[in-house]
Amino acid sequence: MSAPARQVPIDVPLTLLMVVTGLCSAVLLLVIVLVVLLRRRPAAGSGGGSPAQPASPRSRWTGAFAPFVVGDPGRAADVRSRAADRSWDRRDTVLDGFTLRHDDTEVAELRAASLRGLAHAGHGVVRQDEYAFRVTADGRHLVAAVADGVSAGRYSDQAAMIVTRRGAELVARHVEDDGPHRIPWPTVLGELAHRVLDRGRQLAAGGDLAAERELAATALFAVVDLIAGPDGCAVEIMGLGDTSAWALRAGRWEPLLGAKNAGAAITSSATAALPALPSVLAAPLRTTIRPGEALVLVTDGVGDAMGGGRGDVSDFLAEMWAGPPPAALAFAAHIGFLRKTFDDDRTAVAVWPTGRTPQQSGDVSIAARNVGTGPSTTTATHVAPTGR
Amino acid sequence: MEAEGQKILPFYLVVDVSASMVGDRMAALNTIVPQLVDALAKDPILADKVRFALIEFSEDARLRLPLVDLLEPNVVIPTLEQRSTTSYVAALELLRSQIEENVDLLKADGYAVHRPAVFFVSDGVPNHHEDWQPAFVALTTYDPGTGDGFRMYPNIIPCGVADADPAVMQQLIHPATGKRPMKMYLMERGFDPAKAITAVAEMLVASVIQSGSGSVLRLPDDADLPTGLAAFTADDDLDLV
Repeated sequence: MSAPARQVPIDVPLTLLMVVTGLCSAVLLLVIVLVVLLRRRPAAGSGGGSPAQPASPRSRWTGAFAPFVVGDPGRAADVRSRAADRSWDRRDTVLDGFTLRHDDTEVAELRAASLRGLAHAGHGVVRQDEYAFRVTADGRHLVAAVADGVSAGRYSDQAAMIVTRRGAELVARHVEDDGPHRIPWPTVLGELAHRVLDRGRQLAAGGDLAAERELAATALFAVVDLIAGPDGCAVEIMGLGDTSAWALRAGRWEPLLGAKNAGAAITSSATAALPALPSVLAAPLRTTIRPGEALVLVTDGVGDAMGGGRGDVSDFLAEMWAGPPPAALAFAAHIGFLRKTFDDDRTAVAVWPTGRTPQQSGDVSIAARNVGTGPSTTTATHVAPTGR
Repeated sequence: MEAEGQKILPFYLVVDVSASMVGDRMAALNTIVPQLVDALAKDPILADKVRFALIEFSEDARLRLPLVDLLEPNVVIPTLEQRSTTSYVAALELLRSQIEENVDLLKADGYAVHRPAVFFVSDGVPNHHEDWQPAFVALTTYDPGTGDGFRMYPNIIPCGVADADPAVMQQLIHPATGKRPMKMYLMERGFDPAKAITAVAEMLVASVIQSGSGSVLRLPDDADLPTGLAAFTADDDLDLV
């Protein structure tokens, strides 16, 4: 009597177990199928530089490129580039990215890029922006220079080259000879104005007025002490015109020098530019950049789009650059973002101090301690001009 | 503020449709806007930034096309028709109120508006005894030091054909002096007025194209002007015209 009665309770759990196992297998199979299907789907709309999944198991490469787009890209986004109407040796795009070392210690990361804007590319005009940098002979100071050739001038690209290359050279020499706090800015800018005007006289007929009209460029210099002090790396900045310097601190942009006033009723593209010199030169600006922060110099092709440090382009660049420095090609792609009517040449030079000092070679604790400690209390200050 | 600093280059075409603008002259006037549309359609860089408005004037002034992106699909190009007298006052007053309204609105939407450019096309003289100077002063005078006057003052490029008075046209050039002085364009003596209007259209399109690549109003080089048109500055001696 008891045997048949025992068989029933055994059969029920067995059936249940089989049903549950079957269900589990079905769900697992469904998950596997879904995962496989999802992985096979092409990476639609993937941003530039983000590695895509292999198209098939046989692919021997990964990666994808699509330009970054911030908001409406505009009709001009599809414009085909034309070769420049002269000067085959003037590059459309240049870029650099490297680690700065002092006595084998990695002290800072540098990224730089200069791109021909859509207007110049579409109309077959050369890139008129330029950047340059030098490190002093002792490896202690970085000099970065950015210039924007005034587009009304036919040869302004040459003015930008003179200002950046010759300018970075001159400033580095003064830092080597006189120290970082005694740069004679009026002398430096005067010398550069002289050289731009000289080149203008060779190129443009019609005297100094014509020379100035055909050949002019803004100027922006930053001298960065690559050995961090307790407050970070000391920076001295001097500029003329609407090429601007910014600090990216804790994901927020702090305008340091040269940013335009966006509040004016009528926007003007007029800017101060060499060889014209102001009667009174403003004092250089001094600030510090800590590890985890970045010093960024940009021409107005980038700066105007940053809208005073707030807005979509500012948010986009802050997100791209707030973390570890991007690859050099990615950095160039970041400033090549598409956005309606922003068709000017674009240039940016960015420096990220690591916080390591030669004495603490290999010790990353300083950098690690300072990164992400919240908004910096460092503020920029203008200092009295030093000059002769 | 979705525009967030997008650039706008505003162009205003102000045309005289008084009684003398007849037949082939009016036909030539009506080709200006379509020519500009063609040029913009070929140049998306420009088309992103250029906004265009059309004002016609005779005994009064009428806004025939409010400041628009000419490539927007719903834009209808108006046909100009000849009317009666020639009131410069009406034209200049409507121009001022339109510029103020347009710039205020665009600024409120977050656009970066560059200084408007006005091409003022006339084939005759203003109404007899009409005192148009106060309206011109109200449109063009601005003191950046005190902020007095009209801070949105436009650049004005007068274009005179047929019986336009060179001396009056010359007074309409603005700014007449300074770093970026404007010019006026006059039909060469004895040239066909309708063909001169076509030449004005060509000059206007060239100017828009050149301005769009640098966001600064640029007029064509004098050497590149179409036949039948000559350029003059505010200082030029008009005895030679």
